[in-house]
Amino acid sequence: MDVRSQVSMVFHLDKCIGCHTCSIACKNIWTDRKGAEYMWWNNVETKPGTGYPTKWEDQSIYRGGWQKENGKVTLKGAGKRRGLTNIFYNPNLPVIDDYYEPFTYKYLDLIESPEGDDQPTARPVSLITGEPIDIKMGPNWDDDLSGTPDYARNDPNFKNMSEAEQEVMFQLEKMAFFYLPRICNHCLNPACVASCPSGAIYKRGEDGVVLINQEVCRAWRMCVTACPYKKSYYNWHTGKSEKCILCFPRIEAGLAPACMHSCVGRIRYLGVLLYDASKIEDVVHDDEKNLINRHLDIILDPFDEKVIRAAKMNGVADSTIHAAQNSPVYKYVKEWKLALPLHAEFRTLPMLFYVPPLLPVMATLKQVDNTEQSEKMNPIAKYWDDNWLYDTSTAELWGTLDQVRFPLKYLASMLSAGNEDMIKDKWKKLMAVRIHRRRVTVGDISNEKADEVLKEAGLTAEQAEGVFYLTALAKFEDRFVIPPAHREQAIEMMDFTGDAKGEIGFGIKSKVRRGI
Amino acid sequence: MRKKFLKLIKAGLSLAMLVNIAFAQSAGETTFKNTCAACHTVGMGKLIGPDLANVDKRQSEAWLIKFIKSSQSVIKSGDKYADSIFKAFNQVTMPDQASLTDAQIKEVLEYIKSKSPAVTASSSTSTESTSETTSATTSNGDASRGRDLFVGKLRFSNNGPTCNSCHNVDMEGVISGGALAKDLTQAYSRLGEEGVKGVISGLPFPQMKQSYEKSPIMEQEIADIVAFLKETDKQASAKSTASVGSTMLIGGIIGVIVLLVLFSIFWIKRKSRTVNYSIYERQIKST
Repeated sequence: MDVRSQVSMVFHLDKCIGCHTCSIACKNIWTDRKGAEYMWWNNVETKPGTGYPTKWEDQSIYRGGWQKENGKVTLKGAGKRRGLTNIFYNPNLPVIDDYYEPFTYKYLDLIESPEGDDQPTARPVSLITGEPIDIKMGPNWDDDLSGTPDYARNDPNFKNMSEAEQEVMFQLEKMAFFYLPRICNHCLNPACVASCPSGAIYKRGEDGVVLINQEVCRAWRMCVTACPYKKSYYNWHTGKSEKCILCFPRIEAGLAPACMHSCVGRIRYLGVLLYDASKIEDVVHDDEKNLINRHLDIILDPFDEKVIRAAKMNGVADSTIHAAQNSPVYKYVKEWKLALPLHAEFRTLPMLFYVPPLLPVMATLKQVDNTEQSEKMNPIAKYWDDNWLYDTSTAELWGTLDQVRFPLKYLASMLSAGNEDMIKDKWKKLMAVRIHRRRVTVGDISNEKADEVLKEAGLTAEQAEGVFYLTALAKFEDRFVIPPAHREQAIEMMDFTGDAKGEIGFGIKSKVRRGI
Repeated sequence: MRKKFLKLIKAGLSLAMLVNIAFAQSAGETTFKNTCAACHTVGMGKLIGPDLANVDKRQSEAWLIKFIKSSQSVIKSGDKYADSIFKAFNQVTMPDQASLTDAQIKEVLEYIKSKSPAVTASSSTSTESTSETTSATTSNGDASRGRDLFVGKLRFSNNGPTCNSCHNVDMEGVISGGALAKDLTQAYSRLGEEGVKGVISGLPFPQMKQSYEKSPIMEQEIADIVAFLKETDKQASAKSTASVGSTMLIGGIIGVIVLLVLFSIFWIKRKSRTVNYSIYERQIKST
């Protein structure tokens, strides 16, 4: 057992209102520099939608992440042979038009223009060239545009869904969408680290934050293609790649990362997880259907004596273990099993977990006869020719799980590598908590029924209360349990990271054998 | 009858030559034979340089003196006639005869004038006749001996320096020689047999003269070297490929196309444009 600690996150998608406050907070702190204008270390996407950069999930375009070939897991778009054949031109690199051309407006023209017959306007200018441009796209260009042919219908997650199934999603009365906020996943098996020819990217030993050493980066941009989440960006001004740093200067000072601190919907949770690094290689090589369960299995119980002993042997500080025991992430991911990693099939073992959205409110469909009612209507009123009704009573509990507006298949392709049962399981839990709370607050549900629901969902009443508390009432200290930084024990930022390559963070890399 | 007539002519000719040598060898003639005869004749057709018969009628005496003293400076001064001669004779530089005084040159010109046929023979006919005679004279040299002499395996009988200390020939099995003097690979076709012979025996170039004046090369040795140079020339002309001109260009273009096709097959999966292309194409542009 090789116990290490990772600061990881849970995003509760049911709570996200898509306000982009997180993106703005991040932008203001980190990426308002020249060359970084187009970067959104944190971005919020509307799903179904194509996201940012466009179609980032489609690895046939960008060739990010890992693939399993003949039982061996290799990088999809990098490696020695592929690197050599594409050494002068990396064909899978996203271009600026795949993101968007950053722009601003000539606001000064509004007040400095000479008097004339026309109102002055602030023309958009490119932040790259400084020339006036036609704005073609933005980082959230498909915001709220569910059902649009260019964005929603081009969502790569539809690749396994039939034409009819897709069409059902975009029926006018069925149309729905949710938001997917994304930051760097600070993976356990990061493809960006593995792809870097310069060895500039590393996973920090003490908290697992994946960082790019700006001193070592040589602008190969292999990480930009290798990251399947497209969360590594190339700064065209400095000639170095940059990515989300999980606001490590803030974390070290005991503050939550900017995006999480500013989150209006309070959807974000941050805490320590202890994991067994020796099993990473084994897990990564497992079959796609086992991937998520095996991934969650290597996250260790911070209350287990054996784990604590092994963690201490590995130099994990007592304060970190204590933080792991109070971690909200541990509760969501392991205790309640409510959260899932995004696109586990990329095999990077992301350490950012999502609670799937239950939206819209689940209701059962009830067969009713509307003819009598319809006949009473005057001739110009809308005639309802369907004979069903949304029933929000709890007479039928899981009746329409398979008929909800978001087909299970769609969410499964995003969050559970295609496993629909896994999503169903989470939905049942979320529903059960609601029913339990309805029993407590409204009181129109009988105890037997509520208990039966909880039992079926695999939760106890205390757990349901815990979920409710952390979801709806949690305070700052509940949502962010930040371990004190032990900088005195950490590998210093200014040291050459290559010295520690293969020793920190993740288990696959072995040291290069030199000599004969 | 005919035989008798031929004999008579032969005898007459040899007699005339004897008389010529014995009595008529003026100072001009000596100078001509020593310095000019290697490359020039009077009325016997062209060798390396032009036939000098009636040269006094072609150019003024002052011009000729200037040219003889330094031909290159005349050519460089932009004299059209000098330039045309230089080009007509394979751009072989005539050695400067700075050591000759004006008086000596005048004597030589006088000698040429006296030897020139009264009627200006058309140069073309004379050229033909000489070229016939050159090809007719068969050298009896041994090429392999000539090669040994050239390289220095065999010593010249008068201990003259070997040719390849200054000259180079491009031939298989022959080590490359010096770069001090002209490459002689194709000297044979440039100068002709008489020309080569003339240069080696007449020593018109000051450096050659200095090297071989006191250790002249023997008649047989000259013949051997000429035979060797003939061989190198033959080999060089056989080696020189036919003009490739347009073939090269067309081949190059086809090659490039083939390469591009191969590249486009090899990199067929490359992402050639933005994924947003179709969206951008439909957007209204302000300009």
